[in-house]
Amino acid sequence: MSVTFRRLLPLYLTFIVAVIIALRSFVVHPTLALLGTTFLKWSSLIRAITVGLGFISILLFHGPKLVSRSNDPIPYQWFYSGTTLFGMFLFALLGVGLGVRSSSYLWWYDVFYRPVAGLSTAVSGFFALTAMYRSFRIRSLESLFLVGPALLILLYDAPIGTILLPGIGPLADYIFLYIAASAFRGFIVAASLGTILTSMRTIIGREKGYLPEEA
Amino acid sequence: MTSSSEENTIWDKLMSIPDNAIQVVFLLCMIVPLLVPMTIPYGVTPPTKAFYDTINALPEGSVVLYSMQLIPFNYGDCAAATASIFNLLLNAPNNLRVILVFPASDGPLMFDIMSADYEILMPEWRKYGEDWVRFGYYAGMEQGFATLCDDMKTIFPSDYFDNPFDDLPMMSDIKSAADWDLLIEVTSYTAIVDYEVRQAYGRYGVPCLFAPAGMTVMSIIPYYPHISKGFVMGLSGAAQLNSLQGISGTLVDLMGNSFSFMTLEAFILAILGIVSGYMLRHRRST
Repeated sequence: MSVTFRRLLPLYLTFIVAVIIALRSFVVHPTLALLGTTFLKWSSLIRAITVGLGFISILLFHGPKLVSRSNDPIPYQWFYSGTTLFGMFLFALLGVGLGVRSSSYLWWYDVFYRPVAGLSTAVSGFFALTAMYRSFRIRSLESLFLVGPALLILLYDAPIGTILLPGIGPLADYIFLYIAASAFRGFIVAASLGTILTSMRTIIGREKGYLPEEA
Repeated sequence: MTSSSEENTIWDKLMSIPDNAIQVVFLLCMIVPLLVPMTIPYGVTPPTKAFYDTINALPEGSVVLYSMQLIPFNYGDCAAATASIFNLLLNAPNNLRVILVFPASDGPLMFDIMSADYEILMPEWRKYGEDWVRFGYYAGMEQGFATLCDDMKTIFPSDYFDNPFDDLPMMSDIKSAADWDLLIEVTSYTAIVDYEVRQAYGRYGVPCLFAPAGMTVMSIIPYYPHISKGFVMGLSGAAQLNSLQGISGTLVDLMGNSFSFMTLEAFILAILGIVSGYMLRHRRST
């Protein structure tokens, strides 16, 4: 494929689409508004299509491991790959074939996916608790500033917290309103400036990471 | 090497509590309050009170977009808040018009599960299609939400029950974010908060209220109290919101009690760990 199609065309398309979407926020014009909305619709569609790409990607990764009964990188990897593929095909077939509101899909979702997904989060709580017991140490002033508010917010987060220690309410609010808010706002401003710079570099064609490599 | 008498101080014993024992106590703290109903008072924090007041202060018939990122991973922390906020929206004295949307594909299914697990207090005079409408999942995260803000019908040509958009009486004068009076999001995913602020508040000036999971509360702090006048923090916030609504004896209370006990154990363990660690270090240095 020529350089024009592989690199120049995506660059021009990126420039045109990005400028139109950016301009419509500053210039009120029906054509700009229509084009901007159309591009956003396309973008939503493309995002939805990536689910299909993910399906193929998982199939290409786990399929060979199952077929070759691979034990790489862990023992019985082929079994885990098979389970992954079974779950993926099961839900895809039920969802596309019968619909996500069908009783079969809901039954599998309720007895298979939901408990496993919830359990993986719930189990981590037990390990987090023992890890916290072993690792929360105050060895310096800095660690006191880190651990102190963490404990405060931990108790504040519990419904009974402000009843047991009424004083933590105003203290936690002070941390939220002044210390955490100012730190996070600074972080957001810095991240936003970085995003704007990266976007501008992409629009003018200086950022080419998304393009295929030059031959 | 320390002597055997030094190794048997209370601090040594505390530091050598087996992990299994800690986890068993944690399990009991979780289960016992669920099995044995207790009346434990809740303190209402200022952000929860502000959240409640903001909703009640909306003008009569205001339009509220209620977005719920309910997934199995955050269900334990977010489902109670989802139910409590939905009850508040349905029963608020200002006859709010509520639009339900879901930024995660699991959302619609998890909403049904949540409705079965928690009590939804739907007043008889509330009519579907006139007072509230349920749409489905919108794909595309920020791009999808940006399109939803511009033109709701593009994203949702029909509702969750396959009724065409144009057949829903409530939606006759609600076409885009310009027609929303408030956006409420229940989420454990920080990026959703950021893009909703960018798209709904930034472009259309729609005020927002957030109900983050406890672990992600810091993500909404930069927007509090200017963009989000208040917030409801996970299970704890849900219990407080129920208390403000005068709802008691529900699953939210049971889970709130369970959460209180679990947090208390974590808090006590953390303090014990810190003190024991300090005492052992102090002994070694002297």
